[in-house]
Amino acid sequence: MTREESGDVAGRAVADEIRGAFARHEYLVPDANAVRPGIAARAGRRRVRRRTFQSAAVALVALGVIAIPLAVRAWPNRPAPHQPPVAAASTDGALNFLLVGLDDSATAGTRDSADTIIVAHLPADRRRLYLITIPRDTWVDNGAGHPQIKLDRTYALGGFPQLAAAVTGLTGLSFDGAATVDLVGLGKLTDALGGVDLCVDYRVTSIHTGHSFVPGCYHFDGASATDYLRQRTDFAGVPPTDPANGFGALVRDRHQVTYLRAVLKKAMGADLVTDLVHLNTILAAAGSALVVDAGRRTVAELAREVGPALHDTIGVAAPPGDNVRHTDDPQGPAVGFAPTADSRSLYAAVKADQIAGWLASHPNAVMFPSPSPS
Amino acid sequence: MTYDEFVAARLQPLLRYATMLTGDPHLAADLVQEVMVRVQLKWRRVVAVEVPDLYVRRMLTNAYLDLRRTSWWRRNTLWARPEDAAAVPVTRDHAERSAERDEIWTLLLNLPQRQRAAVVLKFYEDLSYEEIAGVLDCAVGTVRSLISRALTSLRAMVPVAGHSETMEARP
Repeated sequence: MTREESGDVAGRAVADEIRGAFARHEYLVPDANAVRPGIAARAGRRRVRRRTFQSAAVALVALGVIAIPLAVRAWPNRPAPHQPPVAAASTDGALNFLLVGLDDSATAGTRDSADTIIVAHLPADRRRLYLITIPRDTWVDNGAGHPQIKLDRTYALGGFPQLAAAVTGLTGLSFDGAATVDLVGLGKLTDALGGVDLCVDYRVTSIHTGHSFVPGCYHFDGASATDYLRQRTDFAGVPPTDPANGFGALVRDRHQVTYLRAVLKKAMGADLVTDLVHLNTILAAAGSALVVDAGRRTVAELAREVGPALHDTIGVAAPPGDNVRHTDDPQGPAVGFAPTADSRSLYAAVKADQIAGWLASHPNAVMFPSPSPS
Repeated sequence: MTYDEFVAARLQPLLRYATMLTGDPHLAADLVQEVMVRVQLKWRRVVAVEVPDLYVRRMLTNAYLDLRRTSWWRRNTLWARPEDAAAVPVTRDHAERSAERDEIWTLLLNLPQRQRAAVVLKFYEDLSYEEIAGVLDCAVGTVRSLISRALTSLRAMVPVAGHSETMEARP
Protein backbone atom coordinates (compact mmCIF):
# COMPACT_ATOMS: atom_id res chain seq x y z
CA MET A 1 0.00 0.00 0.00
CA THR A 2 1.52 3.30 -1.06
CA ARG A 3 1.34 6.38 1.05
CA GLU A 4 -0.98 7.96 -1.46
CA GLU A 5 -3.36 5.04 -1.32
CA SER A 6 -3.24 5.08 2.43
CA GLY A 7 -4.02 8.84 2.27
CA ASP A 8 -6.90 8.12 -0.08
CA VAL A 9 -8.23 5.44 2.21
CA ALA A 10 -8.00 7.74 5.17
CA GLY A 11 -9.67 10.48 3.12
CA ARG A 12 -12.55 8.22 2.19
CA ALA A 13 -12.92 7.09 5.76
CA VAL A 14 -13.12 10.67 6.92
CA ALA A 15 -15.55 11.48 4.15
CA ASP A 16 -17.79 8.65 5.28
CA GLU A 17 -17.53 9.78 8.87
CA ILE A 18 -18.63 13.24 7.76
CA ARG A 19 -21.51 11.89 5.72
CA GLY A 20 -22.54 9.81 8.70
CA ALA A 21 -22.41 12.78 11.04
CA PHE A 22 -24.57 14.81 8.67
CA ALA A 23 -27.05 11.95 8.28
CA ARG A 24 -27.30 11.47 12.04
CA HIS A 25 -28.23 15.11 12.44
CA GLU A 26 -30.94 15.35 9.82
CA TYR A 27 -33.44 15.15 12.66
CA LEU A 28 -32.44 18.71 13.49
CA VAL A 29 -33.75 20.04 10.14
CA PRO A 30 -36.85 22.17 10.71
CA ASP A 31 -39.98 21.32 8.77
CA ALA A 32 -40.56 23.55 5.77
CA ASN A 33 -44.24 23.93 6.58
CA ALA A 34 -43.33 25.39 9.96
CA VAL A 35 -40.95 27.90 8.37
CA ARG A 36 -43.15 29.10 5.51
CA PRO A 37 -45.50 31.34 7.52
CA GLY A 38 -42.50 33.10 9.01
CA ILE A 39 -41.22 33.93 5.53
CA ALA A 40 -44.56 35.36 4.48
CA ALA A 41 -44.82 37.40 7.67
CA ARG A 42 -41.30 38.80 7.33
CA ALA A 43 -41.77 39.57 3.64
CA GLY A 44 -44.95 41.44 4.50
CA ARG A 45 -43.16 43.44 7.17
CA ARG A 46 -40.32 44.17 4.78
CA ARG A 47 -42.70 45.34 2.07
CA VAL A 48 -44.41 47.69 4.50
CA ARG A 49 -41.06 48.97 5.69
CA ARG A 50 -39.88 49.44 2.12
CA ARG A 51 -43.09 51.25 1.21
CA THR A 52 -42.88 53.37 4.33
CA PHE A 53 -39.29 54.21 3.54
CA GLN A 54 -40.10 55.01 -0.05
CA SER A 55 -43.06 57.20 0.80
CA ALA A 56 -41.06 58.86 3.54
CA ALA A 57 -38.33 59.58 1.03
CA VAL A 58 -40.86 60.93 -1.46
CA ALA A 59 -42.38 63.09 1.27
CA LEU A 60 -38.96 64.43 2.22
CA VAL A 61 -38.15 65.29 -1.37
CA ALA A 62 -41.54 66.94 -1.81
CA LEU A 63 -41.09 68.85 1.42
CA GLY A 64 -37.71 70.04 0.23
CA VAL A 65 -39.09 71.12 -3.13
CA ILE A 66 -41.83 73.10 -1.40
CA ALA A 67 -40.02 74.31 1.69
CA ILE A 68 -36.77 75.52 0.19
CA PRO A 69 -38.30 78.16 -2.11
CA LEU A 70 -40.65 79.19 0.70
CA ALA A 71 -37.78 79.46 3.16
CA VAL A 72 -35.74 81.47 0.70
CA ARG A 73 -38.66 83.82 0.18
CA ALA A 74 -39.37 84.08 3.89
CA TRP A 75 -35.73 84.93 4.58
CA PRO A 76 -35.82 88.37 6.20
CA ASN A 77 -33.01 89.93 4.17
CA ARG A 78 -34.14 88.64 0.83
CA PRO A 79 -33.40 90.97 -2.06
CA ALA A 80 -37.07 90.90 -3.10
CA PRO A 81 -39.48 92.33 -4.12
CA HIS A 82 -37.81 93.05 -7.42
CA GLN A 83 -36.79 89.51 -8.25
CA PRO A 84 -37.43 88.75 -11.87
CA PRO A 85 -40.61 86.73 -12.08
CA VAL A 86 -39.48 83.12 -12.30
CA ALA A 87 -40.55 81.74 -15.66
CA ALA A 88 -44.26 81.54 -15.07
CA ALA A 89 -46.29 78.87 -16.82
CA SER A 90 -47.37 81.02 -19.72
CA THR A 91 -47.17 84.76 -19.74
CA ASP A 92 -48.60 85.45 -23.12
CA GLY A 93 -52.26 85.97 -23.86
CA ALA A 94 -55.08 87.11 -21.63
CA LEU A 95 -56.10 84.98 -18.66
CA ASN A 96 -59.63 84.36 -17.47
CA PHE A 97 -60.63 82.89 -14.14
CA LEU A 98 -64.07 81.86 -12.96
CA LEU A 99 -64.83 82.87 -9.38
CA VAL A 100 -67.98 81.47 -7.82
CA GLY A 101 -69.65 82.31 -4.54
CA LEU A 102 -71.87 79.57 -3.18
CA ASP A 103 -74.77 79.98 -0.79
CA ASP A 104 -74.87 76.95 1.46
CA SER A 105 -78.14 78.05 3.00
CA ALA A 106 -79.95 76.00 0.37
CA THR A 107 -82.41 73.41 1.62
CA ALA A 108 -80.69 70.46 3.21
CA GLY A 109 -80.00 67.70 0.71
CA THR A 110 -79.81 70.03 -2.23
CA ARG A 111 -76.63 71.47 -3.63
CA ASP A 112 -75.66 75.04 -2.97
CA SER A 113 -76.73 77.57 -5.53
CA ALA A 114 -74.09 79.65 -7.25
CA ASP A 115 -75.27 83.12 -6.31
CA THR A 116 -72.18 84.99 -7.40
CA ILE A 117 -70.47 84.46 -10.71
CA ILE A 118 -67.46 86.62 -11.43
CA VAL A 119 -65.07 86.41 -14.33
CA ALA A 120 -61.64 87.73 -13.41
CA HIS A 121 -60.00 88.89 -16.62
CA LEU A 122 -56.30 89.65 -16.84
CA PRO A 123 -55.41 91.15 -20.22
CA ALA A 124 -52.24 90.16 -22.03
CA ASP A 125 -50.53 93.39 -20.92
CA ARG A 126 -51.20 92.40 -17.27
CA ARG A 127 -51.68 96.05 -16.32
CA ARG A 128 -55.22 95.85 -14.95
CA LEU A 129 -57.46 93.25 -13.42
CA TYR A 130 -61.10 93.29 -14.52
CA LEU A 131 -63.72 91.71 -12.29
CA ILE A 132 -66.84 91.13 -14.37
CA THR A 133 -70.03 90.11 -12.63
CA ILE A 134 -72.41 87.94 -14.61
CA PRO A 135 -76.04 88.10 -13.44
CA ARG A 136 -77.02 84.82 -11.86
CA ASP A 137 -80.50 85.16 -13.37
CA THR A 138 -79.19 84.92 -16.92
CA TRP A 139 -80.98 82.31 -19.00
CA VAL A 140 -78.60 79.68 -20.34
CA ASP A 141 -79.01 76.60 -22.47
CA ASN A 142 -79.57 73.38 -20.62
CA GLY A 143 -78.70 71.01 -23.41
CA ALA A 144 -80.57 70.41 -26.63
CA GLY A 145 -84.28 69.86 -26.24
CA HIS A 146 -84.39 71.27 -22.71
CA PRO A 147 -85.90 74.58 -21.69
CA GLN A 148 -83.42 77.21 -20.65
CA ILE A 149 -82.50 77.46 -16.99
CA LYS A 150 -81.00 80.22 -14.93
CA LEU A 151 -77.25 80.31 -14.57
CA ASP A 152 -77.28 79.88 -10.81
CA ARG A 153 -79.25 76.67 -11.04
CA THR A 154 -76.68 74.94 -13.24
CA TYR A 155 -74.54 74.49 -10.15
CA ALA A 156 -77.33 72.81 -8.25
CA LEU A 157 -77.93 70.50 -11.21
CA GLY A 158 -74.45 69.52 -12.25
CA GLY A 159 -72.01 71.09 -9.83
CA PHE A 160 -69.07 73.21 -10.86
CA PRO A 161 -68.49 71.47 -14.23
CA GLN A 162 -71.98 72.27 -15.45
CA LEU A 163 -71.76 75.84 -14.20
CA ALA A 164 -68.40 76.37 -15.90
CA ALA A 165 -69.73 74.85 -19.11
CA ALA A 166 -72.75 77.15 -18.96
CA VAL A 167 -70.57 80.23 -18.44
CA THR A 168 -68.36 79.14 -21.31
CA GLY A 169 -71.45 78.63 -23.47
CA LEU A 170 -72.72 82.08 -22.55
CA THR A 171 -69.48 84.02 -22.91
CA GLY A 172 -67.35 81.92 -25.24
CA LEU A 173 -64.50 82.17 -22.71
CA SER A 174 -62.41 79.21 -21.61
CA PHE A 175 -60.96 79.45 -18.14
CA ASP A 176 -57.37 79.20 -16.95
CA GLY A 177 -58.37 78.59 -13.37
CA ALA A 178 -61.25 78.78 -10.96
CA ALA A 179 -62.15 79.23 -7.33
CA THR A 180 -65.28 78.54 -5.37
CA VAL A 181 -66.00 79.77 -1.88
CA ASP A 182 -69.05 79.37 0.32
CA LEU A 183 -70.24 81.66 3.08
CA VAL A 184 -68.28 79.82 5.76
CA GLY A 185 -65.10 80.06 3.72
CA LEU A 186 -65.79 83.69 3.01
CA GLY A 187 -66.07 84.45 6.71
CA LYS A 188 -62.93 82.54 7.60
CA LEU A 189 -61.00 84.15 4.77
CA THR A 190 -62.11 87.59 6.00
CA ASP A 191 -61.09 86.83 9.56
CA ALA A 192 -57.74 85.39 8.45
CA LEU A 193 -57.08 88.69 6.70
CA GLY A 194 -57.94 90.53 9.89
CA GLY A 195 -61.20 91.94 8.54
CA VAL A 196 -61.95 93.94 5.44
CA ASP A 197 -62.96 97.57 4.90
CA LEU A 198 -66.24 98.00 3.03
CA CYS A 199 -68.58 100.88 2.28
CA VAL A 200 -72.34 100.39 2.61
CA ASP A 201 -74.23 102.15 -0.17
CA TYR A 202 -77.88 101.45 0.67
CA ARG A 203 -79.41 101.09 4.07
CA VAL A 204 -80.44 97.48 4.52
CA THR A 205 -81.68 95.33 7.37
CA SER A 206 -80.45 91.76 7.22
CA ILE A 207 -83.25 89.27 6.69
CA HIS A 208 -80.91 86.68 8.23
CA THR A 209 -79.74 88.37 11.43
CA GLY A 210 -81.85 91.52 11.69
CA HIS A 211 -78.73 93.64 11.78
CA SER A 212 -79.09 97.06 10.16
CA PHE A 213 -76.37 98.24 7.83
CA VAL A 214 -76.29 102.02 7.56
CA PRO A 215 -74.54 103.76 4.65
CA GLY A 216 -70.94 104.60 5.44
CA CYS A 217 -67.60 102.84 5.46
CA TYR A 218 -66.84 100.24 8.11
CA HIS A 219 -64.43 97.55 9.10
CA PHE A 220 -66.17 94.20 8.61
CA ASP A 221 -65.22 90.97 10.32
CA GLY A 222 -66.05 87.60 8.78
CA ALA A 223 -69.52 87.27 10.28
CA SER A 224 -70.73 90.77 9.46
CA ALA A 225 -69.21 90.67 5.96
CA THR A 226 -71.00 87.45 5.05
CA ASP A 227 -74.24 88.77 6.53
CA TYR A 228 -74.01 91.96 4.50
CA LEU A 229 -73.00 90.22 1.29
CA ARG A 230 -75.98 87.87 1.39
CA GLN A 231 -78.56 90.66 1.33
CA ARG A 232 -80.44 90.89 -1.95
CA THR A 233 -83.68 92.64 -1.14
CA ASP A 234 -84.98 95.50 0.93
CA PHE A 235 -82.25 97.98 0.03
CA ALA A 236 -83.59 101.40 0.90
CA GLY A 237 -84.30 103.30 -2.28
CA VAL A 238 -84.08 100.26 -4.53
CA PRO A 239 -87.48 98.94 -5.59
CA PRO A 240 -87.27 95.25 -4.69
CA THR A 241 -89.23 94.22 -7.74
CA ASP A 242 -87.42 96.46 -10.17
CA PRO A 243 -86.23 94.17 -12.95
CA ALA A 244 -83.70 96.77 -13.97
CA ASN A 245 -81.89 96.02 -10.74
CA GLY A 246 -82.14 92.31 -11.30
CA PHE A 247 -84.58 92.08 -8.43
CA GLY A 248 -81.81 93.24 -6.17
CA ALA A 249 -79.34 90.71 -7.47
CA LEU A 250 -77.38 93.32 -9.38
CA VAL A 251 -76.92 95.38 -6.26
CA ARG A 252 -75.70 92.33 -4.43
CA ASP A 253 -73.36 91.51 -7.31
CA ARG A 254 -71.86 94.93 -6.95
CA HIS A 255 -71.48 94.48 -3.19
CA GLN A 256 -69.74 91.21 -3.69
CA VAL A 257 -67.36 92.31 -6.39
CA THR A 258 -66.56 95.37 -4.27
CA TYR A 259 -65.84 93.03 -1.40
CA LEU A 260 -63.62 90.94 -3.66
CA ARG A 261 -61.66 94.02 -4.54
CA ALA A 262 -61.35 94.88 -0.86
CA VAL A 263 -60.03 91.39 -0.14
CA LEU A 264 -57.51 91.67 -2.94
CA LYS A 265 -56.45 95.11 -1.72
CA LYS A 266 -56.03 93.75 1.77
CA ALA A 267 -54.04 90.86 0.40
CA MET A 268 -51.75 93.26 -1.37
CA GLY A 269 -51.38 95.30 1.78
CA ALA A 270 -50.45 92.14 3.65
CA ASP A 271 -47.81 91.44 1.00
CA LEU A 272 -49.46 88.10 0.29
CA VAL A 273 -48.35 88.26 -3.29
CA THR A 274 -44.70 87.99 -2.34
CA ASP A 275 -45.08 86.30 1.05
CA LEU A 276 -46.13 82.82 0.05
CA VAL A 277 -46.01 81.47 3.57
CA HIS A 278 -48.59 84.02 4.63
CA LEU A 279 -50.61 83.41 1.48
CA ASN A 280 -50.77 79.71 2.18
CA THR A 281 -51.80 80.41 5.76
CA ILE A 282 -54.65 82.60 4.58
CA LEU A 283 -55.80 80.08 2.00
CA ALA A 284 -55.59 77.26 4.52
CA ALA A 285 -57.67 79.26 7.00
CA ALA A 286 -60.65 79.08 4.69
CA GLY A 287 -60.20 75.32 4.64
CA SER A 288 -62.30 73.19 2.35
CA ALA A 289 -64.81 76.03 1.99
CA LEU A 290 -62.41 77.68 -0.44
CA VAL A 291 -61.44 75.65 -3.48
CA VAL A 292 -58.79 77.14 -5.69
CA ASP A 293 -57.87 75.61 -9.01
CA ALA A 294 -55.01 77.60 -10.43
CA GLY A 295 -55.05 75.51 -13.57
CA ARG A 296 -51.60 74.85 -14.97
CA ARG A 297 -50.06 77.32 -12.56
CA THR A 298 -49.34 76.98 -8.90
CA VAL A 299 -51.12 79.37 -6.59
CA ALA A 300 -47.75 81.04 -6.09
CA GLU A 301 -47.21 81.57 -9.80
CA LEU A 302 -50.73 82.89 -10.07
CA ALA A 303 -50.16 85.34 -7.25
CA ARG A 304 -46.98 86.57 -8.94
CA GLU A 305 -48.73 86.97 -12.26
CA VAL A 306 -51.89 88.66 -11.01
CA GLY A 307 -50.24 90.62 -8.21
CA PRO A 308 -49.01 93.69 -10.13
CA ALA A 309 -52.43 94.19 -11.76
CA LEU A 310 -54.19 94.33 -8.36
CA HIS A 311 -53.19 97.99 -8.09
CA ASP A 312 -55.62 98.74 -10.85
CA THR A 313 -58.74 96.69 -10.39
CA ILE A 314 -61.80 97.57 -12.41
CA GLY A 315 -65.27 96.28 -11.59
CA VAL A 316 -67.51 95.62 -14.54
CA ALA A 317 -71.19 94.71 -14.44
CA ALA A 318 -72.12 92.68 -17.46
CA PRO A 319 -75.23 94.17 -19.03
CA PRO A 320 -78.07 92.01 -17.73
CA GLY A 321 -79.91 91.91 -21.04
CA ASP A 322 -83.61 91.76 -21.70
CA ASN A 323 -86.09 90.56 -19.18
CA VAL A 324 -87.57 87.38 -20.53
CA ARG A 325 -90.20 85.34 -18.84
CA HIS A 326 -89.89 81.63 -19.35
CA THR A 327 -93.01 79.75 -18.42
CA ASP A 328 -91.59 76.33 -19.14
CA ASP A 329 -88.93 76.62 -16.46
CA PRO A 330 -89.14 73.51 -14.28
CA GLN A 331 -89.20 75.75 -11.23
CA GLY A 332 -92.27 77.50 -12.55
CA PRO A 333 -92.70 80.69 -14.54
CA ALA A 334 -89.85 83.05 -13.88
CA VAL A 335 -88.31 86.19 -15.22
CA GLY A 336 -84.65 86.17 -16.12
CA PHE A 337 -82.21 87.89 -18.41
CA ALA A 338 -81.70 86.96 -22.00
CA PRO A 339 -78.34 87.99 -23.45
CA THR A 340 -78.50 90.97 -25.76
CA ALA A 341 -76.19 92.48 -28.31
CA ASP A 342 -74.70 94.57 -25.50
CA SER A 343 -73.78 91.67 -23.25
CA ARG A 344 -72.60 89.61 -26.21
CA SER A 345 -70.33 92.44 -27.32
CA LEU A 346 -68.77 92.56 -23.84
CA TYR A 347 -68.01 88.84 -23.86
CA ALA A 348 -66.63 89.12 -27.40
CA ALA A 349 -64.42 92.02 -26.33
CA VAL A 350 -63.11 90.07 -23.34
CA LYS A 351 -62.35 87.13 -25.57
CA ALA A 352 -60.55 89.35 -28.04
CA ASP A 353 -58.61 91.04 -25.21
CA GLN A 354 -60.17 94.40 -26.08
CA ILE A 355 -62.18 95.13 -22.94
CA ALA A 356 -60.70 98.61 -22.51
CA GLY A 357 -62.18 99.70 -25.82
CA TRP A 358 -65.57 98.20 -24.93
CA LEU A 359 -65.62 100.00 -21.58
CA ALA A 360 -64.84 103.32 -23.28
CA SER A 361 -68.11 102.99 -25.16
CA HIS A 362 -70.06 101.55 -22.19
CA PRO A 363 -69.03 103.73 -19.22
CA ASN A 364 -72.18 102.75 -17.31
CA ALA A 365 -70.92 99.20 -16.94
CA VAL A 366 -68.00 100.35 -14.78
CA MET A 367 -68.84 99.79 -11.10
CA PHE A 368 -65.49 101.02 -9.83
CA PRO A 369 -63.31 102.92 -9.70
CA SER A 370 -65.76 105.81 -9.76
CA PRO A 371 -65.25 108.02 -12.77
CA SER A 372 -63.02 110.88 -11.75
CA PRO A 373 -64.99 114.12 -11.53
CA SER A 374 -64.30 116.29 -14.54
CA MET B 1 -41.17 28.84 -12.40
CA THR B 2 -43.16 30.84 -9.89
CA TYR B 3 -41.98 31.74 -6.42
CA ASP B 4 -44.48 29.32 -4.89
CA GLU B 5 -43.25 26.47 -7.06
CA PHE B 6 -39.71 27.26 -6.03
CA VAL B 7 -40.64 27.26 -2.35
CA ALA B 8 -42.54 23.98 -2.69
CA ALA B 9 -39.56 22.29 -4.33
CA ARG B 10 -36.59 23.92 -2.63
CA LEU B 11 -37.49 25.11 0.85
CA GLN B 12 -36.92 21.78 2.59
CA PRO B 13 -33.53 21.14 0.88
CA LEU B 14 -32.48 24.69 1.78
CA LEU B 15 -33.44 24.11 5.39
CA ARG B 16 -31.42 20.89 5.40
CA TYR B 17 -28.42 22.68 3.96
CA ALA B 18 -28.73 25.54 6.44
CA THR B 19 -29.03 23.13 9.36
CA MET B 20 -25.88 21.31 8.30
CA LEU B 21 -24.10 24.63 7.92
CA THR B 22 -25.06 26.01 11.30
CA GLY B 23 -25.77 22.89 13.34
CA ASP B 24 -28.60 24.86 14.94
CA PRO B 25 -32.20 24.41 13.73
CA HIS B 26 -33.32 27.81 15.00
CA LEU B 27 -30.49 29.66 13.37
CA ALA B 28 -30.98 27.60 10.20
CA ALA B 29 -34.69 28.42 10.04
CA ASP B 30 -33.85 32.05 10.66
CA LEU B 31 -31.22 32.20 7.93
CA VAL B 32 -33.50 30.48 5.44
CA GLN B 33 -36.38 32.78 6.27
CA GLU B 34 -34.17 35.80 5.88
CA VAL B 35 -32.87 34.60 2.53
CA MET B 36 -36.30 33.54 1.27
CA VAL B 37 -37.69 36.96 2.10
CA ARG B 38 -35.03 38.49 -0.12
CA VAL B 39 -35.73 35.86 -2.77
CA GLN B 40 -39.43 36.69 -2.68
CA LEU B 41 -38.89 40.44 -2.90
CA LYS B 42 -36.39 40.08 -5.75
CA TRP B 43 -38.00 37.10 -7.41
CA ARG B 44 -37.72 38.47 -10.95
CA ARG B 45 -33.98 38.85 -10.57
CA VAL B 46 -33.67 35.38 -9.06
CA VAL B 47 -35.53 33.55 -11.85
CA ALA B 48 -33.56 35.46 -14.43
CA VAL B 49 -30.32 33.61 -13.57
CA GLU B 50 -29.38 30.34 -15.20
CA VAL B 51 -29.77 28.10 -12.17
CA PRO B 52 -31.96 29.81 -9.58
CA ASP B 53 -31.33 27.03 -7.08
CA LEU B 54 -27.57 27.55 -7.07
CA TYR B 55 -28.09 31.29 -6.89
CA VAL B 56 -30.29 30.96 -3.81
CA ARG B 57 -27.87 28.52 -2.24
CA ARG B 58 -25.18 31.11 -2.80
CA MET B 59 -27.35 33.73 -1.07
CA LEU B 60 -27.87 31.37 1.83
CA THR B 61 -24.16 30.55 2.03
CA ASN B 62 -23.27 34.22 2.02
CA ALA B 63 -25.83 34.87 4.75
CA TYR B 64 -24.19 32.11 6.79
CA LEU B 65 -20.69 33.42 6.12
CA ASP B 66 -21.88 36.90 7.07
CA LEU B 67 -23.10 35.76 10.48
CA ARG B 68 -19.84 36.50 12.25
CA ARG B 69 -19.20 39.60 10.22
CA THR B 70 -22.47 41.32 10.85
CA SER B 71 -22.87 43.86 13.57
CA TRP B 72 -24.16 43.10 17.01
CA TRP B 73 -27.45 44.82 16.16
CA ARG B 74 -28.17 42.84 13.02
CA ARG B 75 -27.15 39.58 14.66
CA ASN B 76 -29.54 40.31 17.45
CA THR B 77 -32.47 41.17 15.23
CA LEU B 78 -31.69 38.17 13.08
CA TRP B 79 -31.50 35.72 15.95
CA ALA B 80 -33.82 37.09 18.54
CA ARG B 81 -37.20 36.77 16.87
CA PRO B 82 -39.00 34.63 19.41
CA GLU B 83 -42.21 34.35 17.38
CA ASP B 84 -40.32 32.97 14.41
CA ALA B 85 -38.21 30.65 16.45
CA ALA B 86 -41.27 29.28 18.19
CA ALA B 87 -42.66 28.28 14.82
CA VAL B 88 -39.98 25.60 14.50
CA PRO B 89 -40.89 22.55 16.57
CA VAL B 90 -37.83 20.70 17.74
CA THR B 91 -38.13 17.50 19.66
CA ARG B 92 -35.21 16.35 21.71
CA ASP B 93 -34.99 13.15 23.58
CA HIS B 94 -32.15 11.49 25.37
CA ALA B 95 -30.88 9.63 22.31
CA GLU B 96 -30.69 12.77 20.28
CA ARG B 97 -28.87 14.57 23.00
CA SER B 98 -26.26 11.85 23.06
CA ALA B 99 -26.01 11.99 19.28
CA GLU B 100 -25.31 15.67 19.61
CA ARG B 101 -22.27 14.84 21.63
CA ASP B 102 -21.01 13.15 18.46
CA GLU B 103 -17.32 13.96 18.26
CA ILE B 104 -16.99 14.46 14.53
CA TRP B 105 -20.10 16.65 14.51
CA THR B 106 -18.49 18.83 17.13
CA LEU B 107 -15.32 18.99 15.05
CA LEU B 108 -17.33 19.93 11.99
CA LEU B 109 -19.03 22.71 13.94
CA ASN B 110 -15.68 24.06 14.96
CA LEU B 111 -14.29 24.28 11.43
CA PRO B 112 -13.78 27.76 9.99
CA GLN B 113 -17.00 28.83 8.25
CA ARG B 114 -15.80 28.66 4.65
CA GLN B 115 -14.24 25.25 5.19
CA ARG B 116 -17.44 24.02 6.78
CA ALA B 117 -19.53 25.40 3.91
CA ALA B 118 -17.27 23.63 1.41
CA VAL B 119 -17.49 20.37 3.39
CA VAL B 120 -21.29 20.51 3.62
CA LEU B 121 -21.59 21.24 -0.10
CA LYS B 122 -19.19 18.41 -0.94
CA PHE B 123 -20.26 15.63 1.43
CA TYR B 124 -23.87 16.49 2.22
CA GLU B 125 -25.09 18.19 -0.94
CA ASP B 126 -22.80 16.04 -3.13
CA LEU B 127 -21.92 18.95 -5.38
CA SER B 128 -18.94 18.85 -7.74
CA TYR B 129 -15.91 21.05 -7.09
CA GLU B 130 -17.05 23.29 -9.95
CA GLU B 131 -20.51 23.75 -8.46
CA ILE B 132 -19.06 24.43 -5.03
CA ALA B 133 -16.77 27.04 -6.58
CA GLY B 134 -19.89 28.62 -8.05
CA VAL B 135 -21.70 28.70 -4.71
CA LEU B 136 -18.71 30.00 -2.77
CA ASP B 137 -17.79 32.36 -5.60
CA CYS B 138 -14.15 31.28 -5.72
CA ALA B 139 -11.77 29.25 -7.90
CA VAL B 140 -12.02 25.45 -8.05
CA GLY B 141 -8.50 25.24 -6.65
CA THR B 142 -9.63 27.20 -3.63
CA VAL B 143 -12.45 24.71 -3.07
CA ARG B 144 -10.00 21.80 -3.21
CA SER B 145 -7.75 23.55 -0.74
CA LEU B 146 -10.63 24.36 1.63
CA ILE B 147 -11.82 20.76 1.66
CA SER B 148 -8.32 19.36 1.95
CA ARG B 149 -7.60 21.54 4.95
CA ALA B 150 -10.88 20.56 6.55
CA LEU B 151 -10.15 16.86 6.01
CA THR B 152 -6.67 17.26 7.48
CA SER B 153 -8.13 18.73 10.66
CA LEU B 154 -10.73 15.99 10.90
CA ARG B 155 -8.46 13.08 9.89
CA ALA B 156 -6.42 13.44 13.01
CA MET B 157 -9.50 12.55 15.00
CA VAL B 158 -10.87 9.64 12.96
CA PRO B 159 -9.44 6.18 13.61
CA VAL B 160 -8.87 4.89 10.08
CA ALA B 161 -8.54 1.22 11.04
CA GLY B 162 -11.98 0.92 12.56
CA HIS B 163 -13.60 1.94 9.31
CA SER B 164 -11.84 -0.28 6.75
CA GLU B 165 -15.02 -2.24 5.98
CA THR B 166 -16.82 0.96 5.15
CA MET B 167 -14.00 1.83 2.83
CA GLU B 168 -14.25 -1.47 0.98
CA ALA B 169 -17.97 -1.24 0.68
CA ARG B 170 -17.64 1.85 -1.42
CA PRO B 171 -16.37 1.82 -4.98
